[in-house]
Amino acid sequence: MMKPIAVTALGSGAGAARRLLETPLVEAIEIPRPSLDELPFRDFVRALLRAPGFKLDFRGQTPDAALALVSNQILGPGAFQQERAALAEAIAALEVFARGLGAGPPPQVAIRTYFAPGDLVWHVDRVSERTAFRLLWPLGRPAGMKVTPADNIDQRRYRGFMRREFPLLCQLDTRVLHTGAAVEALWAHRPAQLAAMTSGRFPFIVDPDKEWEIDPTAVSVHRVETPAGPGTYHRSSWTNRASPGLQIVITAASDEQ
Amino acid sequence: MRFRGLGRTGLKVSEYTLGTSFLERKGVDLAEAGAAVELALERGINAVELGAGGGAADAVGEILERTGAGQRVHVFSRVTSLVPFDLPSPHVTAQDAYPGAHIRAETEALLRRLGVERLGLQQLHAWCPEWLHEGDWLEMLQRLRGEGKIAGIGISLFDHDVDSALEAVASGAIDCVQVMYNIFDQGAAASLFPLCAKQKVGVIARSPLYFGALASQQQTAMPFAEGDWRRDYFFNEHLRETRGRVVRLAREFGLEGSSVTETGLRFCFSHPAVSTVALGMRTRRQVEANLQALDHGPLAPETLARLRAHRWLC
Repeated sequence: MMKPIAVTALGSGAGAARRLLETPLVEAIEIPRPSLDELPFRDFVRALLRAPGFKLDFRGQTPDAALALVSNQILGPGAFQQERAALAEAIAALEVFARGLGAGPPPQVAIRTYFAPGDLVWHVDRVSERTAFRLLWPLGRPAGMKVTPADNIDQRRYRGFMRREFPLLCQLDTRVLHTGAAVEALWAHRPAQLAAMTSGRFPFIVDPDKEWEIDPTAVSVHRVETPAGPGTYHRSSWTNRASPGLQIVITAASDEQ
Repeated sequence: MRFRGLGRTGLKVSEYTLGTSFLERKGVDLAEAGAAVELALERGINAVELGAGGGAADAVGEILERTGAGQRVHVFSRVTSLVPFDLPSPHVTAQDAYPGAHIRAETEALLRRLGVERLGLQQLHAWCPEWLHEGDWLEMLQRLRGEGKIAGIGISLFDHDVDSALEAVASGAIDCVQVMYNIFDQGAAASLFPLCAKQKVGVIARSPLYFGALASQQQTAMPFAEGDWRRDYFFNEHLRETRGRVVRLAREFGLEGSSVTETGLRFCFSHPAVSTVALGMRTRRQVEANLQALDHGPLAPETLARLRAHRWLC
């Protein structure tokens, strides 16, 4: 079985990444990055990770302004100024890269540190624009995003499964965000679901061994489902539930070809 | 037959609304299904639900004409989304899915197909809270209501997605909410139903028997026929889990055979905020059995209190 993850470098440019993602057998690309221990803003990130889980959409703010907002609120005014600036610079560089993936409006950037259990279930991200890609850079989590090809999903069973589970998973995500409670406790009354989320073995998967993991420290880019094209099926790992890391999510969407 | 008010529409609807999507299902005995619809109307059911885009409108229209029931029966419909989507999505805008011109065209076409002057409700399905402030759907539905082409404006919630309606109900913009409600899915009773009662918004309780799971204690490997979407919905562990819960329910309450079904239906009627319970009835036997459940009235408060422990999914 061919691995559906292609490796590229930030320096190779967004054009190279886009060409790889347009290759039918490629579901995601991996851009190697140093581990958190080797990054200059590690102490800042770890301080954020010690706080209760949160999420923040930048909504057009610069990374510097958005990080200042969250840092001042959580860690106190002026904390980790230099490290914060270094992380903002790194996010800005990824934003520039994401912008190169399409010709649309500026990408949307968000960060979060809470664990969304819905991510444990194979899913595609969706937007309404014509083409879209999502870039994910997790800092400080033990397992990488997993991907599987679309033909490894029994589509009828998947639709039936998601009709039942999608709103329930959305509610579960919200409860985890608001209460910080453990998934196992919140869904103790749903042992079969919990078992699937723990093991990654879902009833709509054709071959459970046909899944691949992005390196946990790498930046990844995957396709987002649009009215014009399919998205990449992906999921998080149960291993991440206790330490989801700081996840930097950048979505580049465009109505241009 | 008892009747309840459907929110601010001013309509009095029977405690059952007859779902008709089974008329479109492959393998259904259409002669028997048609006879069941006629019997239901004859016995006083005065509300009929169509699937998206009119569903079985032609068959229903023909029955209404033949039985002369068109003047007293209220037909509830759901507009077809112009954007196909399997799951609710804020990324699909209300204007893309349900533009006003499309709502008018589909409503007027449906009135012609049914041979009636007014629909009881026109509803937007798979409701997303973001839609409340988007597009021209509300303006168009208000205009259609003003013209007497619909009696009320409704939203239909995706399965289990009960809280998505709270803002719309509070806004006063809508007349009715359709929501999944049954012994396993009691979530609507927490916040939505009290709000609907306060705002005088009607409630259609859908899936009262959890897609048939509360209507059957069959232990066959797969009780749903080839081509029935429920085969995939219940596949595979979920079928075992659901059966286990139905058996536990039956054992605790000493229920045998059809009395599980009856308890499931009476559970829905027992909530005062529920205006009507939408249910498909494919055979005359099912019509008679379901009407019998109505005759027995609401469940006792102590039974309802014990049933709260059987809440499971939502």
